[in-house]
Amino acid sequence: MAAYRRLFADPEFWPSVALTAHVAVTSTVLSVVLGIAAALVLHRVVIGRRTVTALFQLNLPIPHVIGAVAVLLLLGQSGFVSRLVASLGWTASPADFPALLFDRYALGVIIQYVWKEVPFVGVVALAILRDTGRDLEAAAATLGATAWQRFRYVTLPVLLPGVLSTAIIVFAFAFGTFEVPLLLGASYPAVLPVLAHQRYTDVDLASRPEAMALAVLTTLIVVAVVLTGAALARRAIRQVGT
Amino acid sequence: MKDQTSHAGLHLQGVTKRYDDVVALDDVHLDVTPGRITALVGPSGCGKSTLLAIVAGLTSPTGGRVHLGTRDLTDVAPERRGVVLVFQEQRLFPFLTAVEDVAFGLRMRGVSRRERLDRAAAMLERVGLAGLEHRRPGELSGGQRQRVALARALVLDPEVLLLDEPLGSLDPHLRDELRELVVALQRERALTTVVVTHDREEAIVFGDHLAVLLDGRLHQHATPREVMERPATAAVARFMGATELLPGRCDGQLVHTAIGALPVPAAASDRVAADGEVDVVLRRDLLRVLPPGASGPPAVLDTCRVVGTLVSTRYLGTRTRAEIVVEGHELTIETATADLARHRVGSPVTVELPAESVWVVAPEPRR
Amino acid sequence: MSALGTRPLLPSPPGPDRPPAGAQPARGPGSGLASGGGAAPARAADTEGRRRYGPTLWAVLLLTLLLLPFLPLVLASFSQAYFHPQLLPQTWSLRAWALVLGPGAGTWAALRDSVVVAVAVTGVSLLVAIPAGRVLATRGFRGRRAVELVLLLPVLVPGIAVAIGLHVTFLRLGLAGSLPGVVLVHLVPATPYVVLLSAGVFANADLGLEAQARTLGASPWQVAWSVTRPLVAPGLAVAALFGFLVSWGQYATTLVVGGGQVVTLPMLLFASAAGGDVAVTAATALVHALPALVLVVVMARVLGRGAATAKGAR
Repeated sequence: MAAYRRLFADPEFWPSVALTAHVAVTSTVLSVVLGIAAALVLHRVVIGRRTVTALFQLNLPIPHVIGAVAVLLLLGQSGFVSRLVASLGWTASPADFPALLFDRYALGVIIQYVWKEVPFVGVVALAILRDTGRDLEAAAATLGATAWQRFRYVTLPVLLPGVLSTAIIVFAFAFGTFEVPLLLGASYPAVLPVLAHQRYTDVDLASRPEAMALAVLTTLIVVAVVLTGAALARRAIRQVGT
Repeated sequence: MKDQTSHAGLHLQGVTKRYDDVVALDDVHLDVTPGRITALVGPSGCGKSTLLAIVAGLTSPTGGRVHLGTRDLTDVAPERRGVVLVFQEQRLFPFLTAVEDVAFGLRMRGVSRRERLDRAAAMLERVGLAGLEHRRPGELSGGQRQRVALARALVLDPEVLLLDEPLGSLDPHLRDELRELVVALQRERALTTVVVTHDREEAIVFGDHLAVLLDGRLHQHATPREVMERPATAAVARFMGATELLPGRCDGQLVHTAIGALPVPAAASDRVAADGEVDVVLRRDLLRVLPPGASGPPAVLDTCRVVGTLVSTRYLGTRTRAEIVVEGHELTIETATADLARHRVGSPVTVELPAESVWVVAPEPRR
Repeated sequence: MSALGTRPLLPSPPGPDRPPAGAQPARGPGSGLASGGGAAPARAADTEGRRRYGPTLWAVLLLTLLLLPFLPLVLASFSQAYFHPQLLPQTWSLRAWALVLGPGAGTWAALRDSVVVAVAVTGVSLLVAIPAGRVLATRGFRGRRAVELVLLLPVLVPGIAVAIGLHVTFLRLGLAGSLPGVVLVHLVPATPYVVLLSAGVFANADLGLEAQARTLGASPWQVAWSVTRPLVAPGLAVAALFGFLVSWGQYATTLVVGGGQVVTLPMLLFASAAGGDVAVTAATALVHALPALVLVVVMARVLGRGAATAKGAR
């Protein structure tokens, strides 16, 4: 118990919680929105449909560490995008490029999460669209619904339950992952998993119990959010009737 | 009753639909009678549902136009046509209650919540589902779902109502109920309705007019009686059933067939081509078997008699189906069981063919 | 109205029984006869023909963004000098690859260890998942919901928490820093996926076929081998693949429980990333990525072909 009390008083703790929450929520929201958008685009593709869908899923089996390294090379201040921008003449030296990694808002981390999870959400949404989406959209069209109305009143409600469940998984993952923030994030403030590891491997063995406490707390937060989310999702699913 | 001429007519001109090298619909011209039920009938997979989809605007024809009154609908989006399609599998929205589902189209039009739910509830009551407003599709039976789908379409007061096999998934006794309901609702509103079905009995009962679609072509568009008694083509005769087909050659007033010479009905004389080749259509239910030992001339003029051998019988209840070989040609007839009571298999029988049992059509290409 | 063929059909006169209210049905019969026309698909496609290219272009844009991160990875791995602001390496070279795949780097050992661990994790989780999945799918027992939720928990618990939590126990059991220890800790995140996916497979399979086979004289063993196995094998292969991939990408758990003594590819990769040699890091990353990709592609091919033959057999 003493460890917990020490933790709550620790100046690193609360900023870490805030940062982790920010990363998880932002990543989840972005992944869901962009994932649904991607699924809608893929749903309408006629030419090269199979190729496009296959390529869309390409980064699903790629381990996160590789993705993190790739993002490092892509978005670092001397990274690929920075060089693209420099070749356009907008910047001169690496330092002119904004620091997307190791920054206070963990932008690099969020980008990496979104990159990996958009296909995940997208594949689920696409499956739903292909299953029931088309039929119901056609029915709505003959009842007078315009394209926008079909999207708002038919497509979205149909997608909601499945995407909600997926979003929960994305949140849990974004909250609890260690590898990516370690590579792409700042060390202060660090997200909770990284903070836990720091304490665990601290030379000062007195930090061990704090590390355990951190691990437990992180788990509790994730589980709490997931359970509430799952309850909400179950209600939504029951409403859809399947 | 509503003034029927206030409804515009639905006209299909030269509608063709091709999928790669499969021709689903071939140059279909159809003037759907306004204010009436037209049953579009044909075997499964012959293009009927495709035709409905084209009229509803869910798919574009490869060729041809669709007109509703003076409006050319061919390039108009489905939501702006005023044509509502009720699908075979209903396609109710799983995330809405029955009353919300019925109110859906009204909601798309911007009708206020209170008003649209009131109208939807009233419609649900009209179709016999009062009290089920707050059920979801998963909580309704097949027949109930079909009624919700119907209510959802009718509450919009469309110009044209399209029903794709509305009775297909229902138990037989439910079918009659639902059909009565559809007919009643249609009559109330004098709604131009097209019903697609592969069941010819259903088409005959349902439709004020029949449009027979075979292999993507419209063979006949007439009243059910017309189609039964005076089929336009051999294919129609075969599809509607209860007929025998024989090739024959016309020569003036008579047509010579394998079983003998039969009178050509006057009304069909225009079907005989230059070389006189025809297919003769015999209505099975009008052919009679004479009691053994009957003699004397036929009572009615133009009634033929042929003699053959009774090969087999099948008891069907009040009627019996019998196979009789006449001059080497096998005829299947259905006649009153009593008529066959005293005939034995293998014995000679006389079959009477009254004039009204004979019809001719253009022959199918000989194989 | 067209008149094909030499036998034009004239419209039939209106029937005498129906009141001639409204327009006559006299106009309207179709064209003449000719052979041809075939069965049509009943389902109507929507708005084909119009706007076919638009969505594809958007999709290409989307894909470019998604696949872009791979580009600098590949480029860097083949570079000798690759500095800002050059988009392409100033000097191309295979140095990094030679180093990574050469004897001193430890890549092959790490690859071997990763494979061994992943295969072991896959195997063990399958052993658990097949019976568990079948039971979950076929028997509705009370508390099944709870079991499913409990099964999901290891997925949700952060990897670092699992690792820290188990590390102390493993230390006491002498499992820390050993390959079996790493295998065991990988099982925690991997098994739930495999079990839940297997349950899905059994739920979707038509297990009534087993009863059918029995009535045709097959013994339970024969049924399991000749009927059940072909039915569920493809789906179980996918479940196994998931388990493999989960283990393949583990870092936090390997780091803590392995204690630096078990070096899998992710460990190697991280160590390399901490150093300065971008090319070597990139090459190592690709070595780590390729087997996963190859496995998935091969699976997709095999499953695709299997599905096709299954359809043919029906």
